[in-house]
Amino acid sequence: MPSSQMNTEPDILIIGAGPTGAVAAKCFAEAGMHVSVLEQGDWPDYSKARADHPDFELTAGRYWSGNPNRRRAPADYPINDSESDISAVLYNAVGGGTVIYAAHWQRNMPSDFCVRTLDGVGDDWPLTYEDLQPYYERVELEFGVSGLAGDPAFPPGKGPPLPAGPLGPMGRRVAKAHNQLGWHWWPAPNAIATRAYGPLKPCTQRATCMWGCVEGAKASVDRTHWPQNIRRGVELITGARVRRLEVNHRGLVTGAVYVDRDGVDHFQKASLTVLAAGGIGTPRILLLSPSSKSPDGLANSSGLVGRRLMMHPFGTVVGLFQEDLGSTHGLWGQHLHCLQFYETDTSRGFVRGAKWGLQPTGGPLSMTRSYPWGDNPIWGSAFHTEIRKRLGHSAMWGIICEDLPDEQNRVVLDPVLRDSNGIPAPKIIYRMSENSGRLLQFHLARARESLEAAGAYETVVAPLIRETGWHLLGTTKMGNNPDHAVVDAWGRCHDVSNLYIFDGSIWPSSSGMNPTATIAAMALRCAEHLVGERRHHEPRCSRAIYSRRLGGCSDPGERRLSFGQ
Amino acid sequence: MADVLIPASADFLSASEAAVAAEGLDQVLAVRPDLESGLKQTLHSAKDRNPTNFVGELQTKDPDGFAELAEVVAGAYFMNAMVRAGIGYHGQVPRPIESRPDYLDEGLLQSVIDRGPIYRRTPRTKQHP
Repeated sequence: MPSSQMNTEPDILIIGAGPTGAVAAKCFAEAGMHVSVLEQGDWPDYSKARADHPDFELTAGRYWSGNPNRRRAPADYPINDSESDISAVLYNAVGGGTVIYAAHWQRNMPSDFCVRTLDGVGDDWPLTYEDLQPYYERVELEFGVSGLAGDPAFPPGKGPPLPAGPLGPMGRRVAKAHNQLGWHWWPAPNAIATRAYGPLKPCTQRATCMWGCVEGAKASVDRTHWPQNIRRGVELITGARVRRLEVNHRGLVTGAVYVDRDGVDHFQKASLTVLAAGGIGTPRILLLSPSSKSPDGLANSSGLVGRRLMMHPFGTVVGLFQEDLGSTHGLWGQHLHCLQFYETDTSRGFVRGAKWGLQPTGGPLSMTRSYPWGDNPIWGSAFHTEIRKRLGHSAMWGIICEDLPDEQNRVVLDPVLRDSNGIPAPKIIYRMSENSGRLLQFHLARARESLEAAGAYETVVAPLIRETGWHLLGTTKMGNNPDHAVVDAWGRCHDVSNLYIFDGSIWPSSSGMNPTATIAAMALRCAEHLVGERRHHEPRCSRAIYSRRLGGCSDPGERRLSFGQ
Repeated sequence: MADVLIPASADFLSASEAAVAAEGLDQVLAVRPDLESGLKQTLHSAKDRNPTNFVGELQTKDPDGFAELAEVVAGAYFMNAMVRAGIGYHGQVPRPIESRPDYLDEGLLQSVIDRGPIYRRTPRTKQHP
């Protein structure tokens, strides 16, 4: 036990202040629970958002870089990605990944929940689209999502609360082309306010969404949730890096040991704990918390903690047009999306598919970089001609490929690398599968056809770059069978009955969508279930203890510990 | 060396005409001090070399070093007010969203709707009416 003081005990402890923690904390606080949250980062510093300065493009990738190995902020921990095809992208701050996400707000499609049944790959989710649909609709209200109901790529239902952003000249060109091709498109859903909405201001299309939204239009949860959560009484402790979870002799979590900014250890007691630290942070904490009963890491009797890492291989195709498309600006974000090739067609030589989002390309400095322009010559005598061709005259498809789960793709603790507090750092081991490779090539070819049909006189397929691991999924799998899953359908750990995981780690399959909409909807669904269970449901013991006693749990002290009653 | 990357053209300034190697460089390093040590190393290696040959060699043999040099030069170039005016770029200035959605124009959406649902049916999937 650390030498510092024991903090008072909340009804529930959440680790991580990203979208999962934000949505769950709101739900718990509204249910009258006393909530404490540990977040290793601080509040985002929007004084470093430079959209209205001449140095914007030059400075954007510094403070707002998604790669913690490049950003190296005090709250960041290093990630060994030397054995990974893709580098992890995340943000350690209040708001988490939503601070730097592009805010593409994509629901999963119905087939995403039953890939084993439909395609014989991966695993089905223990829930369906229809189970999650009401939660999608509710979190879209929380986030002030813009979009348009009626997209024929999804079952009927309510749309988001705000109108979709404009297609713009590039979107209209592509829309017309897709209508001629008979391909799907739809005004894109974005977690970007197109009108004033609660704490959000209307977007002004600066196309700086991923590098510090100066308008306050992007729905990052440091804006949409945390100020309100704090007003509701949620205790948010920033600069608090979790060293490990403590477990009692019954195998139940008693709280978290965390290190503050001054390097002092604290113990935060908790009778219920929710991990919301993301696809790398969450398994890291579990692996940092072994005990005599679980020597391979907490909640890991299935051996799946850290395994099945999915990161969505990402592709880009840019089209060059004679017309001035105004594509230095827009929602970035996406102007429209295409799901024409999302569902499996085995004649293509792979299963599953990808979502496309049409995006602007930004300012002049972005026109000179190797991504997305590859080694297409620009320097020297061609410079001014190329700048004129590209600047404002280019449109870009971003392609999110579904990644199939593979137990060899995983998060482990690095045997050598440590963070600034001496805590073992994570190492990711990831190889893109053959299926993903074929899938990506097919979609790049179709996206090229799309832009050509829209009038592009030249297209550029961007080189694959490493820093595209925005979507970190699958490392504490959800499922009904404790032998093959870490958590149940409500995020409760099979092994540890007072420990929950609500974040993207629990996804049994990755879909081919940007995940925040589903992460938020799942967090709300799981949190509401926990609230209801706490009120009405009989507690149970940890799986190991239940097995040992053969007759189940009857220790009233354990009940108190499990449910904070 | 900057002019090898960005030479003058009939309509546009070269890097040196845009003061890239003077105040431009200071401006860049003021906001991106992380680029300084790599740049110093590159400049040291370039000493007494033919700029064109050196830049070509750097691009082939040290792509990361080249990318850093290019970022500094182009970063400084595009911060120059005359350059920005010349290419008609005024920064990421606000452009408020118009109240009438342009996706309603020309019946664009109707074609998509008419093609019908494209999601795959599952045992529990509701269908469009």
